[in-house]
Amino acid sequence: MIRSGAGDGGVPHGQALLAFVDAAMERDPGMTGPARAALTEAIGEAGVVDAAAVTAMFQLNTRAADAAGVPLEDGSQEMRSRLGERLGFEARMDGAAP
Amino acid sequence: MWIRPDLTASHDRVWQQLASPGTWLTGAERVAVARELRAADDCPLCRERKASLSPAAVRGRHATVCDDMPTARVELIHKLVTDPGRITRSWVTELLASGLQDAEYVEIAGLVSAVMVVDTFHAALGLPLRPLPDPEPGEPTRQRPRTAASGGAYVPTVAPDALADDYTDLYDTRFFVPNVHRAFSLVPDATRVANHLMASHYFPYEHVPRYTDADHDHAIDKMQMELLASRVSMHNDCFY
Repeated sequence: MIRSGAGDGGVPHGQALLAFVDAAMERDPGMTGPARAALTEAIGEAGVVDAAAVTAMFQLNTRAADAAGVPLEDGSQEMRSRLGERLGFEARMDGAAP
Repeated sequence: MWIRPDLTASHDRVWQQLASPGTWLTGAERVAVARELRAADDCPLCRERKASLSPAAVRGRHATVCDDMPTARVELIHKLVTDPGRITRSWVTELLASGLQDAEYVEIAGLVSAVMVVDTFHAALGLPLRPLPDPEPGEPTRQRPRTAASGGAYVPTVAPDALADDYTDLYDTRFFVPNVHRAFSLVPDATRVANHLMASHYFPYEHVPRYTDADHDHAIDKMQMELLASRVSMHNDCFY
């Protein structure tokens, strides 16, 4: 669901939120206008502002991690490994979901 | 559209510090970084590299708007804007070997990241981008945290138990400090700007692992915020 697709991940207004992020990341006014309008309809203007804030903030966090190459914490690695095993990701050579 | 004042204040701080002399760059050099990052999306070399399975194999010159900017700075800015998920230790090592100082690398990375927060926020809401500020005169401080050390990252960082001198304020050491919070600590002011942005846009770094919907008055809930964060991370191919 995170990688692609049209689901909502079980999150309220998930589809509209994902469309909003995708448009913001493309920085294409032709996409952001309709996506913003749909999200405003769904969660209101204050929600859209907060969605823009979180989206914007992770432009920094992802780049901070990638630019500095900070290692993943041991606890996070273990959690991801457990989740991978539970979902069957470890069962395939390429890590793809079954 | 009503924008929370704390958001606007954090953007004001990014812009004020962008124009001022930094730790290793002058005000003019810092504003040039912002000008260059806004141009990176239109760089044909970056587009070709982004589409390539082996970006390092694609040679050429970046389309730059700052002709007098050193090549290593242009490479860093463009890569960080257009393909951050494929930054590798060998790429960083090569940049540093070409003459870019590690703290200069961190200051530029922090600037690019902070300006992109402000620009992305405005673009997402259909607001015009803030005009870049006029640079202020003055010299960089050239102060390097004496306790910064290798911690497994590409660049030295300040460990939570190594806060000292005038940079004891960087982390909230009452709680677990995530490694991403240490990323820019070789330039303490870059970390302080990130702290201010986090507190207004999301949550302070040390609160992230344990916040609940009872801890905030945002108009979207935790599941919605985490969905947004994960999607941005996917777009940027972030490993973290």
